Amino acid sequence: MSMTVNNPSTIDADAFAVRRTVTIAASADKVWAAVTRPELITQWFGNVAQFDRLEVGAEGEFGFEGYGRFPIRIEEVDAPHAIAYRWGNENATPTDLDEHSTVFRFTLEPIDMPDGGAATRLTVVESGFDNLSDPVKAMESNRGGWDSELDELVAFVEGSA
Amino acid sequence: MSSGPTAAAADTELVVVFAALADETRWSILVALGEGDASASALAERLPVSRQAIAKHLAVLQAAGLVEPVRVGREVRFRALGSTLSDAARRLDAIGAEWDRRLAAIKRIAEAME
Repeated sequence: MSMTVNNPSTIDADAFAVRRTVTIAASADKVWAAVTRPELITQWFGNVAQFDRLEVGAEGEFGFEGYGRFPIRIEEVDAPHAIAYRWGNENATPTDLDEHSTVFRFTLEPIDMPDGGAATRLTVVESGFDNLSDPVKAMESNRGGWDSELDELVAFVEGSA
Repeated sequence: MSSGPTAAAADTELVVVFAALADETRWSILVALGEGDASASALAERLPVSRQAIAKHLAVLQAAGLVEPVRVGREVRFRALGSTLSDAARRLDAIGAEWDRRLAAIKRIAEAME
């Protein structure tokens, strides 16, 4: 059996990202508050959220009951359109956050509801699971998701078993 | 894990698997092995990479649990291990499910806001 080299064998920078979207019947300002204000973040994410300011480079911690606290750094702020947090895994310290972390980035897109009310499409992308590609760059190249390519490969490999 | 941190879920194993996959040549090798077991020499004939380079890439894939060597007579062939890939895909699914829950909570918070 032969194969062409150009088969589905390419992988792009955000092949290993998780992407989810939800539509919220609230203005972008409200959604922005929910994803950037520490006292609101703790209502959907862990039980500790602290950072000194809402600016690129700001550092802080997110904590989870039973899991401990993890260092974070704000990587992008564009109110009320986009915010990106880099957060460390269990091995991370504030000084080697780049090597032991993923990034999750929220984007907010105002949309019109049929009844004329305000609504926002909120998308989150968590990336950097391979710890090699630059997650922010990967997220900007906003293509696809991990699933099509990885699923394709899984099917390929499992089909051979 | 119901509400634990996803980055903690991105543990060493997941990182090793994805780091192994995040390379065009290794991806090509895995896709090629998806069509059937093959030796390093056979892979070198099919891919634009030297046999030595193929051997190095196979070692990385083997360390990540993505392939295993199988001796066939005097030849060592490599076999793709779908289970590692499926595990990695399942972990990403689990991380995605956590985001579904978090987004649902954000939705409730924002929609309840005055």
